[in-house]
Amino acid sequence: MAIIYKQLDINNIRYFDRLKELIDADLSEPYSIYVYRYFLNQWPQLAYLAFVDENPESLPIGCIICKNEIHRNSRMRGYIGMLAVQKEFRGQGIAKKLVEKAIDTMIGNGCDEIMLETEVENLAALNLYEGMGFIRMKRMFRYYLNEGDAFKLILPITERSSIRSTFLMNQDPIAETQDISKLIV
Amino acid sequence: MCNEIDRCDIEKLDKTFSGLKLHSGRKWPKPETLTSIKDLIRDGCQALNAEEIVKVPTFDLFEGTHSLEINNVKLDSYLIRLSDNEINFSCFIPYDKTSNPDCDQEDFQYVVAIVDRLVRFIITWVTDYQSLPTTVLSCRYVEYMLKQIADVHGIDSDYKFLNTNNGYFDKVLNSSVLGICYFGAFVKKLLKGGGIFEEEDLNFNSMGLDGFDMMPPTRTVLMLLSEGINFIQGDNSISEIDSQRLQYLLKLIRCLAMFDTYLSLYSEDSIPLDEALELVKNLNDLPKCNYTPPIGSFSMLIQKQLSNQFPPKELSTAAEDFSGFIKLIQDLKKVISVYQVSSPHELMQFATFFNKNEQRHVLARALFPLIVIKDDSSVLGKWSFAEALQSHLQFFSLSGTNAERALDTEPFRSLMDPIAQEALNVLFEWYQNSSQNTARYRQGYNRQLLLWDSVQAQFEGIELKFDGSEEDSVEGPPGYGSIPLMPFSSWAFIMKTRAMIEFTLKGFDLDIYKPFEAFQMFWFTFFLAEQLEACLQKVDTFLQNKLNAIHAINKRMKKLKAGEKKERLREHYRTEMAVSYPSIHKNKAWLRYISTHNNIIKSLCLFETFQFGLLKSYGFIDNTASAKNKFVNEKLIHDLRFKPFSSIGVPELPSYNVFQEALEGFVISEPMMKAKQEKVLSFMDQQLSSATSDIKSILINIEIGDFNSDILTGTRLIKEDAVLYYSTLQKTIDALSLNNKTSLSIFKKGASTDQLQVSLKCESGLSGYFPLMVLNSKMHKTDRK
Repeated sequence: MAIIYKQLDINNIRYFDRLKELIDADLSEPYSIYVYRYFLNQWPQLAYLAFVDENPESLPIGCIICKNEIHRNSRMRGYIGMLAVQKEFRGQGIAKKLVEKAIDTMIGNGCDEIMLETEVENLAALNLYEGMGFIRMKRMFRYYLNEGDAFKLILPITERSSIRSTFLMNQDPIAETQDISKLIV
Repeated sequence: MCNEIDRCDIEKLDKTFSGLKLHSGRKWPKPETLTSIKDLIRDGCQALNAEEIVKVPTFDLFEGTHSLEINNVKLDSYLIRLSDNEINFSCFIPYDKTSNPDCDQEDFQYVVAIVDRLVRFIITWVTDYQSLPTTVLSCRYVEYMLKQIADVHGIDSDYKFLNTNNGYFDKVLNSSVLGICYFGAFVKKLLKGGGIFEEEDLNFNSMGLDGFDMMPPTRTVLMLLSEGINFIQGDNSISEIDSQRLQYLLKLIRCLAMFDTYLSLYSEDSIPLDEALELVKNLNDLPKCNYTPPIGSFSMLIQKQLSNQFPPKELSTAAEDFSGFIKLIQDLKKVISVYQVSSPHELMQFATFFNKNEQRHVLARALFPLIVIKDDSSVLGKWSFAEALQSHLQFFSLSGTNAERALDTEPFRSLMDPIAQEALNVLFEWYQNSSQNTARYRQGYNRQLLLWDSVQAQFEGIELKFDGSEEDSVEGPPGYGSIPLMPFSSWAFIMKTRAMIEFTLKGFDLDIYKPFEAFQMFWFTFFLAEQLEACLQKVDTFLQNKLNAIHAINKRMKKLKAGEKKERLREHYRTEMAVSYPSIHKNKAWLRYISTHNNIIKSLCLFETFQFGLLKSYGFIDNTASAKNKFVNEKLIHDLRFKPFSSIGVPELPSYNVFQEALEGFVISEPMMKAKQEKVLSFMDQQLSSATSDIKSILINIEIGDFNSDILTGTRLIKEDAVLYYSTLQKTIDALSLNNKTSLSIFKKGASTDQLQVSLKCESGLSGYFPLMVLNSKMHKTDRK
């Protein structure tokens, strides 16, 4: 089956509702409408959808939601916020393709690194991302509402990724380690 | 929304709204002068694109991500469905089948059930990491009590809030709930102390109830609990077992209420803890309580009715029994035993080991830094901050130096003071970090690296200009000349390098590294251990020179003829032997411990690097990411992994190429592969033997104690933990040896590299810092503890 990948059309409210449905179906972390709006309204070009056909009536069966912005005035950081594929369509490389498309776009936007968090127990996600060159940077104790630990993973894109923020811009090194968002992938 | 909200609720709201009256004096515009904007808003909304959001320009959408969402069952606590019993539950009536036909139990049975569940909920909350509103705060009596406490704050009150005219409710339950609230207030104080983190370590969502900050004096709480106990003892109508259970529970609550003294009075008295431990055992020995609390007395109602910034959550299941208290109590006992330390090195060792083998109870971890670094600007009430810092320095490298004597002179003192203050802050951070949860612990070291590096650099700047520094030096290896000791910066260097080693190896324990990274992490740690060894040797040589100088006085004295000069020298010798000699000897023994420990780390790291080299030699592993993807860049991945060390001045991080070249040195190949392998294996065995011998030596000295021993371990008060740590290392050595033999047999069989891969295995009971590199089927998932 040839899967079609498209960037999100933010004005298509059906897609918006479907994204929420896809994400809510699998993730323990409950996201409010504001979380979706935060990502999708500011970085619609970093949300990709997977379809089983070109039919305009079809709804996506997979999606990835990302953002990119300057991190601590020092480097451009891409962030993968959410990734989901409908159960029946898993195992076909759809998630990998969605991640690749998002990363390509983020690299095009000048990202120095791509970051995400995932549950320590989520071996499928770890295999997917580590297979693309992400490495585990730190472990976070009882990070999620389901009380599971998380790993913070980073994919380095440029050399700026391996320089402490403090030395890219004169900044408090302590602040660097307190960088926490609670999104799940 | 109407589908979700109870119709009756809306009717109630309508009724309430219709009852609202405008202030009589206010002029309200006449309806005919008003314009409806309803259509305007509707049309405006329809004209909006989906991407548009109505908000003030200054509002950051990120703020919104923390919001809850109305009408979303996962996020809107208003949608919690409650039974009539929950809604109508009253704290103002006694529950008793003799006076209330709706009840099927006696009053004391209800009270037993409530208190029993509440006390077990404390475990669920503080030991099993559940939230406050789904455990203790789900009890309607607790909510009621906290509201009453806030209401009477500042007013003379007897804190008897349950006035049902039933002794079990008014005396026993009232005092129990008050005692539990008091314990809750203690937990809140611990959390506010900053040693642990809200949410990940402990939840204290008080639902906006202020009562926790307005507690009565301890004596009031204890007095009411005693009254409650007396009441039970005076009632002959209840069975022995119910009476016993209730008394145990109230006495346990009384002990919990007294835990506050460990913070508020820095109490060192372990009696409440011992008593609590006994009571927990007694409670566990009783048959399980079969009574049920009044229906509705534990409810999600508080989540629906009070200020709730969290998603709704079902009530937790209370702990099965009281065993969860045992760890809390034992760990608190361990923490307060820190008051018995008599020297800074004992304190350091206490901090090093007390949370090392397993994570201590969260309340013990929270209390530890608060009693070590006290509000009265002292360390444990024993040393001022300045004394503590100086003692730490003396024990490592400052003792007997010119720099130490110069601390009493100007301008050296004034130049050193601001850096010493910075050093003290980092030292305190080190202490605080020792009680962090296992993941934060590693992050704490990451943060410390830069701070120690900065302190070292600043100390160096002053020490290099110090006039007396030339005498604080040792003879270097041939051709190196004299090497300056620089005792202040050497201390900072030792602390920094040890932090770097701990940070790196802890990554294995937390499952941070993939097998392909194992070589670089172990080789780098080995490199750090060598740097540390060199510095320790330098300090040791300096101290040995000092000892030699004291011995030389004796020789000089013998050559002198009797007279005044000889007598002066004899007096000087006596003083040196009485004061300096034992002190230097002690410092050397401490350094010997640090060195021996460092040797163990160095040997094991070297073993692991050779193990990797062997596995690579047979093609089972490489130091490159197994991923083959367009985004993979080996050098960038390597550099990112070593980012925490990239800016450290000394020791300078070896370049990517140096790492690659180093690995080549550990790989063997034909010709004479077998002979080379034998040599490697022999060397690996030597590393394990050396580590075993060092561990044995440390374990013997832990057993002997610090009095007059060659190796000063400083583990008197943390002996069990230290012994367990080193014994675990020994078991790990045995496992590493066995695993290597298994790998060798696989090599011998000529196993295919297509079928086998290396995983990092951390078996239970072994050190997570030195995982086994295990060969297993490529389908086999990594086995973690």
